[in-house]
Amino acid sequence: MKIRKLLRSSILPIYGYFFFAFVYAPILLIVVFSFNSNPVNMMIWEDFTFDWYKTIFGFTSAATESALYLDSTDQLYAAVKNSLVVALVTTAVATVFGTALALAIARFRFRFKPFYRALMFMPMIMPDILLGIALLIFFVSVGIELSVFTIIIGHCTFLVSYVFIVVSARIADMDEALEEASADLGANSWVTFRRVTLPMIMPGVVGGALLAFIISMDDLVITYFIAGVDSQTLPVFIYGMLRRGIKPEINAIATIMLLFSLIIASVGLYMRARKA
Amino acid sequence: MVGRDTSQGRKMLSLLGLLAPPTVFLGVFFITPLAIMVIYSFLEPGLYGGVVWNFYDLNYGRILGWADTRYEKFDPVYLTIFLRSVRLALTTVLLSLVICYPAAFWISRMPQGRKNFFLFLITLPFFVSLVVRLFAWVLILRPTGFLNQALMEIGMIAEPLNLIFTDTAVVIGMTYVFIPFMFLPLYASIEKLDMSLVEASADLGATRLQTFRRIILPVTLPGIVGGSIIVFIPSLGNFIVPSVLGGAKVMMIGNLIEQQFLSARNWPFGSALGMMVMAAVLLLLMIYVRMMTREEEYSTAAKVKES
Amino acid sequence: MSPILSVKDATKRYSTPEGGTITALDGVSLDVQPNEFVTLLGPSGCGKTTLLRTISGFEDLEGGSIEIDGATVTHLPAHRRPVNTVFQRYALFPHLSIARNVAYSLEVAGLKRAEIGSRVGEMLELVGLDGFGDRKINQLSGGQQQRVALARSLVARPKILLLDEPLSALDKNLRQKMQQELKTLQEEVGIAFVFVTHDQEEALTMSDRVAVLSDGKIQQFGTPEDLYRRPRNEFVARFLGAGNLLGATVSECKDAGAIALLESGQVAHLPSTDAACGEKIKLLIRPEDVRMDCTKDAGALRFEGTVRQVLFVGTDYIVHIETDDGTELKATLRPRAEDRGAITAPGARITLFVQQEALHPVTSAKVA
Repeated sequence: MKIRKLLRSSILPIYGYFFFAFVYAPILLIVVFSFNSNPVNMMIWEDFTFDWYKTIFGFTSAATESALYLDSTDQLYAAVKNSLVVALVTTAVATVFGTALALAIARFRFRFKPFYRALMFMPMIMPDILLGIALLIFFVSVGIELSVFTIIIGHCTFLVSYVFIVVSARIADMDEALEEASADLGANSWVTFRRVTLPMIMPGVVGGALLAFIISMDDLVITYFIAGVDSQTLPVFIYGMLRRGIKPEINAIATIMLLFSLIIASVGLYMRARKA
Repeated sequence: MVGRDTSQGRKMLSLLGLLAPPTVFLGVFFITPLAIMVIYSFLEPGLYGGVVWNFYDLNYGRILGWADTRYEKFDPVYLTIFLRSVRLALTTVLLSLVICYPAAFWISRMPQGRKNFFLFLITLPFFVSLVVRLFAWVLILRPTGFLNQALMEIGMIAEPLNLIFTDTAVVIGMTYVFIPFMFLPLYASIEKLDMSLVEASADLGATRLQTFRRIILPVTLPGIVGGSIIVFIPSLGNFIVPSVLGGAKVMMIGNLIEQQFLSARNWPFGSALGMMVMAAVLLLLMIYVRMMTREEEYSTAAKVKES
Repeated sequence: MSPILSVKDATKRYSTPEGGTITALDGVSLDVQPNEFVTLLGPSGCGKTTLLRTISGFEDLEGGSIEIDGATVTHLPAHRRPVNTVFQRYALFPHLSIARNVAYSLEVAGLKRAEIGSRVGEMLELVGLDGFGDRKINQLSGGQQQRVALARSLVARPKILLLDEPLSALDKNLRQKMQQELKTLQEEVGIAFVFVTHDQEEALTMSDRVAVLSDGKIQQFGTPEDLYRRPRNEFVARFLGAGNLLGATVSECKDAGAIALLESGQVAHLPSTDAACGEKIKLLIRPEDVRMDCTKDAGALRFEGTVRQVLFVGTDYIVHIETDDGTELKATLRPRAEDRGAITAPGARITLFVQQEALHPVTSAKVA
């Protein structure tokens, strides 16, 4: 009897650890094998090496001298640069637009609110691929050449919604009486916005911006359709590499990306925890 | 009177300042492209990727059953691919639900501090690049991949198994990628579950299974439905996962659309395929809204009865 | 003395989501004297908070006007009105320190740093929070937050302080303490306070005058004692304190008073009434005016009946009696030791008296 009870009470935790193993093992696998020196089969452990990292940063080494695996580090750098430019510009634009819309909807009375709510909801329910092809048709038929610029426009169209939702949630949490109190104490609407509203919704704005940055850095589907030949972003570049055949450097690139996104995510989640 | 007019006027001006830039931007770069896509799906494909500005219903005809009889017979291959996509997306939803439900339950019963830590661990992979997470499964499932190597090492198999480029591989990949989408809404509704309800049910003589079926499941249903929808939508139109883990063998509607745009260059047909995906999503959402409003009516009716 | 606040014929309607309209204020007029503590009292939805918010400028009036210190402010935005508000949940700025909260109105008015510093210091001292200036809002108790809110809204020296149920978030003991402090503070700063509450005891304790609101109208505006002893209609009588309302008909009107015939057949002499001859009215008898001993007053009403329920509340007994003609009567009695046995047992027979001076006629009609 006792054993059955023990079994029943520990079955959920045991399952839980399996669940986390399923979530994390594949990621850890990449990290571990990014240090494997076996150039033929990267899943058979040979020796510990930094060679693949060296290759990425442009140093040739013993293992890679014979066969240059990475097509060109220049392409990789260009992709990283494109990704950063796109993500930074997109984040700035989407944050301003999304916050403006969230403020307008929460703090003003006007007739087309349901329209704007639906508009902000649309990217959430629309499969990415649709926006990707729609933008491709649009840019080509209007005659705008595909480039980093078109990627930025494409990312902004759906990331405005993400910022809007995060900021709106924050505004909804805010006591409206604070703004009334400010007006009551003699502040006009601009002073109230600068001294009360903006500081209060700032965590939401920063959170929305971080989310927009991460999603923009990671977007593949929409970018895939509207990136020009010379304007690949990092995800598109890696996707291309995957399709051409897997090479050990991808492990190292992936590990670095992993580290990068974990740092950003940790900063964001830490900020949220500190607020609460 | 003057004071009122100027303050109203200033209010209008600031509203305009907030609304106008995003409205113009989204009008031009979001609404217009989608509208053009809808129009495209009714246009005749021209040679080499162009369009002819004629009304043309055969893009949909090719998919749904009426073909251009001059050149071809109706081929249900597109319908087959569409239905397979629906099937794979539903399997993904089901699998991720089964995987996440017990885990969400486990975490929801932890003390606060540990709970937050484990929730953090769940959200973290969401921030890891999608391609990277898929790449991990390529490494695992390839003929020379981790799983086959491990199984051969311990002698369970002599020849590498054919794991990658199968329906299963695609479903596993999509499940893995969308687990946070399923987990968070599920967790939100499971955490709200009042454990005294479970105790009350047991107290009234229900077995564990009865309690689960009659109390826990109905109470957590909103989370189940919500999670299922946000997993289903990106699964249905997906083309990255099938192209990485399914190769040429497993084609989903997303791959077909990609082909029409980037290699076959039949944009009107691709648009029509895209509209099919959108129609499926809208149908699903309509059912969801109907369900939710009916539930609401039911609960308000109950309240009216009470009073 | 000219009023510091003068509301004339204020009207405000809201449209409901269902498409109807709610009249929150229906021709409300109200004068408040400088240095006066006025309370707006009424059940929720009576319009008291709306009235306060139109005075502070958060809501626009549809009709009527508001004057503060002789100047019309009806269409002035909130930030240009010389009044300040203490909010229900205080609305303290969580991102600012206590001193910065208090300094807010002076900062936005562009005062010099040194002056802001000294005035904030004075204010914090006045509310008993000197030395707390650098703390954060969430480090304060409810009562302390209340004081910060008071300091913040008084520092700019408003002509009127508006208070929107500021004590409702506090527990009972603290609330009673704060009631006294508020009253003292008002006397100290010497400006008019307009206070909103739904708590009648609070209203009676603190105010110079109370306006009872219902359905967007002022039912009666007067001193607490006036409202309690001489309510104008049944609504005011019921809303303030417990009371017995006995049905009666005015049978005879005289110069010096009136005669009313109770439903039980008893005859009551009333000092005066607005009611016309033949009109149905109610007679208000406060429970504490019901007595056990006969008095020399020959016209006293006499009730014989059976004790139905007795509640012992410390010094007094609240006794519910059913008289022989079926009238229910509630009495707050403080019987002598030897009489206690007679009333504390349900079912006991009892005779009670009410003096004519304790009878107050009220009409059932509300102010419409």
